[in-house]
Amino acid sequence: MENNGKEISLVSQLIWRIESERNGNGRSPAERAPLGQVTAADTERGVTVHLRREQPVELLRQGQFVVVEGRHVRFFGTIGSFRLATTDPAVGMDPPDSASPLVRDTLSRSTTYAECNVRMALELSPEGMPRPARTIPGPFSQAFVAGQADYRTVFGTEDRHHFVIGSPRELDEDMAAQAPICIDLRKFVERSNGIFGRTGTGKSILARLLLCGMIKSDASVNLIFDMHSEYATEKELEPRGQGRYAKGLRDLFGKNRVALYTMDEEESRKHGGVDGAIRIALSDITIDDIEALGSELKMSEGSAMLITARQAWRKLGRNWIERLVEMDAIRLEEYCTQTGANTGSVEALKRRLETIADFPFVVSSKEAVGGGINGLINDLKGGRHVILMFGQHRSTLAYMLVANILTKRIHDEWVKWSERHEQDREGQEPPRPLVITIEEAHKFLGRGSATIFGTIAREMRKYLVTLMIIDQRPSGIDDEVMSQIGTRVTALLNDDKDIDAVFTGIRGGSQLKALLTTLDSKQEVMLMGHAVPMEVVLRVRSFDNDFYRSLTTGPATPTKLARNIEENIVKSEKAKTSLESLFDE
Amino acid sequence: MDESRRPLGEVIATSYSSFTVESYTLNSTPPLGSLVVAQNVIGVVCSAHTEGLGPISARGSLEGDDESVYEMYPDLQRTLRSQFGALVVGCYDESAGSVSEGRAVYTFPECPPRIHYKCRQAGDAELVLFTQRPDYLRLLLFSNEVPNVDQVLIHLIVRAYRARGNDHAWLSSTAEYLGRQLKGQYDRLLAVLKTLDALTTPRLEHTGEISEAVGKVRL
Repeated sequence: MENNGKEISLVSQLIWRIESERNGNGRSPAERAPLGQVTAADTERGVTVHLRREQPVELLRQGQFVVVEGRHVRFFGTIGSFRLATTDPAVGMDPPDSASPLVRDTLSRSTTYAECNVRMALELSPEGMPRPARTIPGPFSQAFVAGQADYRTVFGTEDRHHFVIGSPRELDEDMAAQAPICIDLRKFVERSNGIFGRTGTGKSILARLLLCGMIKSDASVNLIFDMHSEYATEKELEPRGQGRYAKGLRDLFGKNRVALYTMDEEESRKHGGVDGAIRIALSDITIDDIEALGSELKMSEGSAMLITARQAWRKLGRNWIERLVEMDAIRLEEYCTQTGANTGSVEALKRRLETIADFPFVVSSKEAVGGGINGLINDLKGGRHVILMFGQHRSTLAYMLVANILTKRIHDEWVKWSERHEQDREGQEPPRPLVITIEEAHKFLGRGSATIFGTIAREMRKYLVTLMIIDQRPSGIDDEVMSQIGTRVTALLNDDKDIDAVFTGIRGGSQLKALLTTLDSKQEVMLMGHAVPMEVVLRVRSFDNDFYRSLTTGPATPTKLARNIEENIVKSEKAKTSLESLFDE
Repeated sequence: MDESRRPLGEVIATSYSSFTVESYTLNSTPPLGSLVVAQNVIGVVCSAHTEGLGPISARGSLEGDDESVYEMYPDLQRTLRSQFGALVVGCYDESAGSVSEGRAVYTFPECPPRIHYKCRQAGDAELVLFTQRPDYLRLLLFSNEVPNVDQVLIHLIVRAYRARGNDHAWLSSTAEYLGRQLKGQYDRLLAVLKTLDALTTPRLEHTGEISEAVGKVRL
């Protein structure tokens, strides 16, 4: 650097160095960069790294991936917090008032220092595999900002089971390809998963991304309860009005692999392209389904109306809703006299049940249900992914009703399939892992809720049915269910209760909470849990042409699955024929 | 003879940590903070004084110049003497070669310089070489031979800075070293830094140079 007789402060030297690095004259971000050395460590509170003077603290970020080379063990962790300190308390009490760069820079470099707290998550086992850190690095162990090779060691490289979900937040987008963060999809589908974040943080795009990964790798077969009809086809990306669209799953994978079912026959008639319509018979709605809809029907636990409903279920049998809804005033009075039920409660219950009976997709007779549900189940069994669109029926009541009833049916099928396989391991194929995606999950999985979704979340992988829940209020989800969530992908959350809920059952959750609040509201998420070796803050990959291209390359679809899909298309064609005949009627 | 290697005087008192030199020429003592060498011992000038061998009775006239008294009383050249003291800051490792080629080590010598051995002032090149690494400051910082060693240190640093052509990067690293050595002595460090800053900040109004930004008149 030239002097030119002018003052060149340490700061300007530093800026020059940083700029030269940015211009490619320095270290490549793909390489490790020295960070500092370990000066203190604690298994509970993490490791203190005294930063090198050459490492400007302002260029580091919370959540940054760090490697510590101990004498015997290599550790991996993330920066949790930073701290500026002075070697002399007097400096803090009486900071220099001089404007001289010499005084200021000298004091800042010699009497102050920066350190960061690193949460050690993993250590490298003697076999070279990352495993949870069980010890701490020795004094003065050298710490580094992780390089490309370190990311690969921990998160693996993209292959059939490892799906690139994003890149480290601290890397520029053009450098992101050098350090992809992969998620192990086999582990991901083993347990129920959650995508959390406040409104507008890109949860549905993230869900779409993960679904693409699962579909591409055939890690599982997926059923998506698509409340807003946004997963199948193109969706405009935010900010809206800029002509940026994300392709739908059907656009990307075609009808051979993704089946569309609808709750809205009218809309499907207009647009076509669906594989079937779902109708629900009133007789299939049990008292448990009504209880699960308690919050939407304004029937609280223990209320007179719910007691009346249970009584009606017992007295009127399987067609209880149909019979109750069809009662005129005289018959209702007779029913109340016979059963001793309160007339007001029965009338109120009748009104609530009428809202259900009035849904166009709810039919009175078993025969009118058609082959929709069976077609959907057969598609899933055959390995075809299913998106169930709700069309105009976007109310939470409709969504919960359908999701509950269908999931119960599907769950029953998978339980039977598992049991058949258990009884005849040689002759019967094991069930295909099924992932059910639901939105507004806290409505299904609230405290004390006994819905089928709670059962699935708690059962875990017993019957190879798991959930991918998408929610903006994780605090509304039962703690027990939350603790069973395997992998959590968390975008920005504001509410303290929601943040606490997300970290339920996570080791070192308190340290991670602070990190969560540093997320940008767009594209940044924290990934933690079963499918990744350690928690990581990442920038989610863009849903763009590069991504679409990556879906068409990579490992080939297994022949067996392809055969199943072909078989399934034949079945769905049959189902469609029966559907058309229904419409004709 | 190389002017920079011309002897200044002879050692008249000596110890491991300091030595005193009597100048060959009256009123000719090296500047405060300058580097001097006696045998293989390197010192930094920390004091200077001129005094009479006995009571001084000579007086100049009120009208005469300052220098006129020496013309009126030529004996003053014999009855007055100039001496300077130096704090030992290192020595040359003679095993590595002759003194002039030797490597400076920042520690006390095995033997102090001998009485009546000559003392010379180090030139700029030698000063630059000696101050290449900031470790030369260590002995000075912890010396208790003189009441205000910081003034010696400041002048030494400023001389080395100028000998380097006002190398600010060197000054910054030296200041940083001082900062690390003076841990817990914030007030002392601040005073040293502020004085260094005052002595090394260019005073544009005194340079007499025309700013490059303005341009120069071409005749």
